[in-house]
Amino acid sequence: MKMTLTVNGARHAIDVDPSTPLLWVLRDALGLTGAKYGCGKALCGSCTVDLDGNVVRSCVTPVSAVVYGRVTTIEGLSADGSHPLQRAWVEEDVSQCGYCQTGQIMAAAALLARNPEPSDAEIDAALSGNLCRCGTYLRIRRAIRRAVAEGGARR
Amino acid sequence: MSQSQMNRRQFLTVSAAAGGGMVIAITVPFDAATLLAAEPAETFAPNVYVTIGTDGAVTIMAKNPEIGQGVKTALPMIVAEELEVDWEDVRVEQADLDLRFGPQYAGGSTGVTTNWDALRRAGATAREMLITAAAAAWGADRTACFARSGAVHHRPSGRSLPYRDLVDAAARLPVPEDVPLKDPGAFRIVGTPRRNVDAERIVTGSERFGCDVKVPGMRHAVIEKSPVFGARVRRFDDARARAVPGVLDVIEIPPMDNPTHRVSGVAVVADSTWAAMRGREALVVEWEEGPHKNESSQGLREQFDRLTRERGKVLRDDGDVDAAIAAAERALEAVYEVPFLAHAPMEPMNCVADVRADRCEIWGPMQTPGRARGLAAAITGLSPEKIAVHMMRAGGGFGRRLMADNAAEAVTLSRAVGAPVQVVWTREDDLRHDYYRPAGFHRVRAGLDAEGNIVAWHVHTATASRYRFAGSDEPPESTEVFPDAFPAGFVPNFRLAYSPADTGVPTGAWRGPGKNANTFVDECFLDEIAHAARADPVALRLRLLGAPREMPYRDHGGPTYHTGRLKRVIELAAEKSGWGSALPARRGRGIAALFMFGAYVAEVAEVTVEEGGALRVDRVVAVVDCGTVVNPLGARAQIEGGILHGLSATLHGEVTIAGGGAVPGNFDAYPLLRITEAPPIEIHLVESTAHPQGLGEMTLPAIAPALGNAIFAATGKRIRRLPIRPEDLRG
Repeated sequence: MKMTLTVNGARHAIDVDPSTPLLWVLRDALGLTGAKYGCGKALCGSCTVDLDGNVVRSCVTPVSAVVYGRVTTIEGLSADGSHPLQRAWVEEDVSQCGYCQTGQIMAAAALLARNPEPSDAEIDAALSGNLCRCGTYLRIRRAIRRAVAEGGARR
Repeated sequence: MSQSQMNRRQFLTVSAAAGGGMVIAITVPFDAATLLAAEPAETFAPNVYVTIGTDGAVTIMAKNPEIGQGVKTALPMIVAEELEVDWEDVRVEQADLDLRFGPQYAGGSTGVTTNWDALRRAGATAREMLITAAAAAWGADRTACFARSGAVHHRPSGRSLPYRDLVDAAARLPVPEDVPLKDPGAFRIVGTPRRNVDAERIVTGSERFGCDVKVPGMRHAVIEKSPVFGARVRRFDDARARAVPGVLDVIEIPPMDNPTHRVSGVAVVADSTWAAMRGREALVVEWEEGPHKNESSQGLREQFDRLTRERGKVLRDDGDVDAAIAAAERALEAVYEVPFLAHAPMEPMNCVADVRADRCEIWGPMQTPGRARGLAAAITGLSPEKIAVHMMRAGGGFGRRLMADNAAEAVTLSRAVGAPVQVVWTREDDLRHDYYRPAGFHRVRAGLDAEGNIVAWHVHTATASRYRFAGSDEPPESTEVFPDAFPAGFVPNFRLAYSPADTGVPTGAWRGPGKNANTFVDECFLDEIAHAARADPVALRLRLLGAPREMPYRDHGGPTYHTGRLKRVIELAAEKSGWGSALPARRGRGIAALFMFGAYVAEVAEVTVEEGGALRVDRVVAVVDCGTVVNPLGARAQIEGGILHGLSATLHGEVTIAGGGAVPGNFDAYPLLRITEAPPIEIHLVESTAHPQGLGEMTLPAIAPALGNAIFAATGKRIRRLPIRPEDLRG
């Protein structure tokens, strides 16, 4: 089925089965591989993207459900890695294997967009849907606090 | 050994060892002589690790697979240190599989410790050649010249030449055999915190993992496998699968002789991942279920229980355990139990292969690229030098990717369809077709004398041996039990026995093999003994260890270990955690320590257990002596990561078996630790100039016993079975 998708501010004409999860359209059709497959059931958050300011798990979101919205992926969070969360992630050396981190950052970005000064408990709650197997959670917390302290929330 | 000399026979040798050996490697001599010179052109490349361009660009190759353990940063740091360049000026590039690098794998926490000397020599060789070139250019006495920050300096005159101006001349010099190494006191990179070299690409989503690889004309495939371990395809109906739009082919994959190489399945090949997944759902496969279809967790537990009541294969028998326990003032007995665990790396297995008539190329997440090449050679009949292997940054490994079954599948399919193929595993495939951490029972007995001294210790372990599963020539007890591990050698009457269980459940190396189970048993039982003897658990360990001395250790990390270093981490952990100070009701501290793979670790966990059974880990204190620390930032990440990974297993990890297969299919049934459960971790690295050790695995095993012992201190409830269940804590 032919449809048009708005991703990172650009319009894309695609022709896919409308039940296809957004994740596979991003990765296979659009070549945007920043969002990762981790579970296919919205249980791990590796595929997290932003839809009109809301966190969505793209692995369970049919592409047909997002044609009227604006999708932002990690590739669209900033053009050059300059988003305060991306900077903070580098400063705090959060990443180990790095696989889940794009999803973690997208979840954190959505948190700060709606809650510029989250408490520790709010940070934990907002990120509790994003699994990390390497164990970077302590540095994820620090990076979010750093981004908040450095004005990331006002972006 | 040249690449072309790596023949099929050698691969098979390697493969047997790789059935779970902690050193999975193609054995090539690994010294300065193998750091072959590359051709000089626009660059100076004295060995395979270092290239300096006439533009001054310094490239250092990262030889080993990066799976989150930080070697892509740490290993090039070692080269850069001796090369005398500023880290900011270095570009790190991931090497492909290339025998000139020597062993290339991620396993046994060996990356730093086994490459330290060779990488230092690689950097120093280049540095010395650049100094020689500068001295010649100046007509100066070579000993008056030194290198620093990418330039050679002449001390008397203050002149200097940047490396880029020396590249041409240095490239024409013979490569020296013996080069001086820096005094560790002069290190400027090693020992300083350096961030992950791929950090920027990771946070922008531009880093390419195995699953992100795209090759022109690439097809996508998923593979249906039997829910029963060891089953084979009897027949299948692919009519509906082939009718799914985008599905291009359906191909049966035969099992290879060794179940760690490739298992039976039916692959759906399509023009997109989603079409392949849809096609698979429409597939109807009938399985020849084989001998394991009735296996269950309960059946295995009964088998473990029965086996540990028998004598078993006695691997160590000091004194007379039976007589000593019979004569003891007090005897203790307990059974500890651990479950199967899945690796569950965040990136499920995947691989891209492009097989042509005369060559083969492989891209994927892997811990043993040599094994991927060996399997590809066996499947295609191509000679190894025709097979290129690209190690992509892997989304975790933890031992899962020691197996190269993902590569075997991709190669098989690419060969069958005559096009590049990417195999993708779903999470269900990952959790149900893993090579699990062996489950097992550990029956332990001890005898105490009137003063509370341990006069006898007897442990009989029965597990689903991974060496037995892989059909290895190694004995089944390898890495399941360790006859020289503490407290062996400190108790006069000591017996260690082992029995392998009869099971079809696939097992393999899981972060901290063997230690991830035994440390829980030994360190909790020691705590039981301490409480029975009314001794402080820290004091009991220190008294048992006695005077600082070397003890034999005939396993990975040996041939000896030093009790003084083990005591030191225990003492420091006690000091840093406020051991012995009062805590509120229902709060407790527990300690555990171990020597593993050359490093010494002690951890103290502090927990609160509410009346209703709710458990909170308030803090963890970790003290680690891993010798010289190359990258403190990476070291801390590994320590935190090991502890949180161990905590995940302690609180949640269990793969149950029913109907001959694994039950959990996704993270709802196999939960992993979430950020809400991550306690603060305080890390103390012991200052040391000893030979550096790895850190990927050593902090994981101590957290389960530290936690179990803390729970006992808080509640009087003894945890002897993992994972910890809510009912273990209630009341």
